[in-house]
Amino acid sequence: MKKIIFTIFIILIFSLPIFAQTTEFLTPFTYISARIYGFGGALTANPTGFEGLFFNPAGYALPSNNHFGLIDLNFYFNPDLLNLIQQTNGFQNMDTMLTDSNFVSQLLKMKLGIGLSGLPFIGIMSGGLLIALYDSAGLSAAFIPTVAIPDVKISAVAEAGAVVGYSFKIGNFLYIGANAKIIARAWADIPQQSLTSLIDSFSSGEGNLPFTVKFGYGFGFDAGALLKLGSLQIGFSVLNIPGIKIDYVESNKIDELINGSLTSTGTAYIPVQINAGVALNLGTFIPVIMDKVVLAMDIHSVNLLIEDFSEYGFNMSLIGNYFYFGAEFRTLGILTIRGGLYQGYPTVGFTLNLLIAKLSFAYYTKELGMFPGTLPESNFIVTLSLSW
Amino acid sequence: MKKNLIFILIFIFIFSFSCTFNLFEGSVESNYKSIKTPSEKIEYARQILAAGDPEKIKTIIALLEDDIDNDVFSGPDLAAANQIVGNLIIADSGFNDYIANAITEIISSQGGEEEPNLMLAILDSNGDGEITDSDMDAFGEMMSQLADAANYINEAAEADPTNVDLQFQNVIANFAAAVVNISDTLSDTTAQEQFQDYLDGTGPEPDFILNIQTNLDNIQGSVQNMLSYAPEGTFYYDIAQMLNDMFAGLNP
Repeated sequence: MKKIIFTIFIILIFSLPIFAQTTEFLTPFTYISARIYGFGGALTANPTGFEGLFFNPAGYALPSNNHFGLIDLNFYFNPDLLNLIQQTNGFQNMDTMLTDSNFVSQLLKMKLGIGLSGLPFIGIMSGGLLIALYDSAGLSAAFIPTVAIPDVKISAVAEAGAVVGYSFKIGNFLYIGANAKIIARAWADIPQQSLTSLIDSFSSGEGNLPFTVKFGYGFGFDAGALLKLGSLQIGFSVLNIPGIKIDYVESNKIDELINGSLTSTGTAYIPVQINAGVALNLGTFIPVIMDKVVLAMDIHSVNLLIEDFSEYGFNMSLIGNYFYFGAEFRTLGILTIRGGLYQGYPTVGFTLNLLIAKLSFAYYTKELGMFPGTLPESNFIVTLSLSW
Repeated sequence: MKKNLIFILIFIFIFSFSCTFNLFEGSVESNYKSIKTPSEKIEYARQILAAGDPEKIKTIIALLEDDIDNDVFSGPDLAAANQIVGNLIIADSGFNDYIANAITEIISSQGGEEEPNLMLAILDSNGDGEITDSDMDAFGEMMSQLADAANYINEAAEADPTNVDLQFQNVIANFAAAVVNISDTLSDTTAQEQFQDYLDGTGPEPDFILNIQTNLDNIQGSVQNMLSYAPEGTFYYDIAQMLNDMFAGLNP
């Protein structure tokens, strides 16, 4: 136990100088998946399936955690977008709807979020070994009212990665695992500006975008442990060791981006992320109707939470941005129902398991602001996967 | 089994509460006061503005106004703080609902034979088809908030002349403030008499003319900044050119 505490301490110490030197800080990545969001993101102590690789590599050696995946197509979108499509009959009645002042008011307040991940998700998990390739991309936009033209705030990020991991069991209770991974990330720094300025910049840009696109590679490691004591599981993981350094190239010139002839360079970091969680495998409640019942709770980025405490003072509400809570059970042998709290916001979802094809859905809300409850973004997510 | 049931009930209990509010949500005041750096305070205010909750907007306006009065912000942060307070006040005023009414009226009348009745569309806030006293009171309240906002936005615009988005916001806000000055005067019989005396050459210049002149000066200043810093051919340059021509016509 002393060795484990010492190891955690060393990782924290090594991660701190990286934060101090960081010129650009990238948000740790969350893979877009209906199972992850439907379960409230609490997978550190319940790292089963391919989703587990993003939370705790110690799970690969868990009994029956053997999988092969080919396709994992995830699509998320904002309810505002769905409302817009419904109200305008697929944009066909847009002209008519613009004569309704309530609709125009709604339109001015709409937030738009869409994203896609993983059409190819090639993975194999067997005997404690994992090999996987993944990709993901997300775009979100919001209008911010001003006295004149509304401002628009856009964020765009895409990530692809290759992961090799291994997990093994020590004694009867403890699982230890690690990943080595290469990450490619592309993102755009789009400053908040008025819609008019943005449109003008596009139309008069002469081959230049009104923002910079950055693209770079980095490599790093994940490590995790899982203590399995009967129905109780305690998980702990350190991701993105030692703070993944992304050496990127950047440009706002469209031809340079297409040709790959970017010359301007910089460095960014994905910080170390320390996660901890507990899960309870409660087994069968009502045979056939309610079995494989699991409850789980996570605190993600414990190190960043500690930084927040040191910056803003100890405030319980700060925990909300790092708190994840989930529950799921299987019914009729083919349907898994989920619910949870993602950063304090409710989530619901399900997976319909049809042999090798799985259809999943989730509704979730995540926090985009500095404090819980500041700037929530709600999304629907649909996942179609082929895996067994 | 009993223990497991208790766990499930606890989960359902917490989940039910979270459906009505975020269990971790702190007050805007406590969150704002825990932020130490001025630039982060402004970023937090931007996030509140983007979320659009009216109660939170009212709270953050008061907090920012206090901090501006207490010299918490300086330099570019002060300009940004003034701009965000101005826009928060505008969001709080319901200005966007009036804009939505105007857009709707213009689009509805396109292709039709009737001219758009913008006055009715804008002022008829309760949608009953006629302009009543309550409509006028609501409009007056909104316009006076716009005038307050104009003071903040003008401060910001003077400190950051290269920001053409901000300059255009200043044009609109000062125009609204000038309209408020005029409408306030026209609804006050004493002020009307003073104005008539001034026109007849039998009385001094009323204060409101000076106020309107200040608004017009602010507009002209921002128009010049837009002409200097907006690239030719852009929306802002064209608008500034048009306004500049208009002012040239007013001041031969």
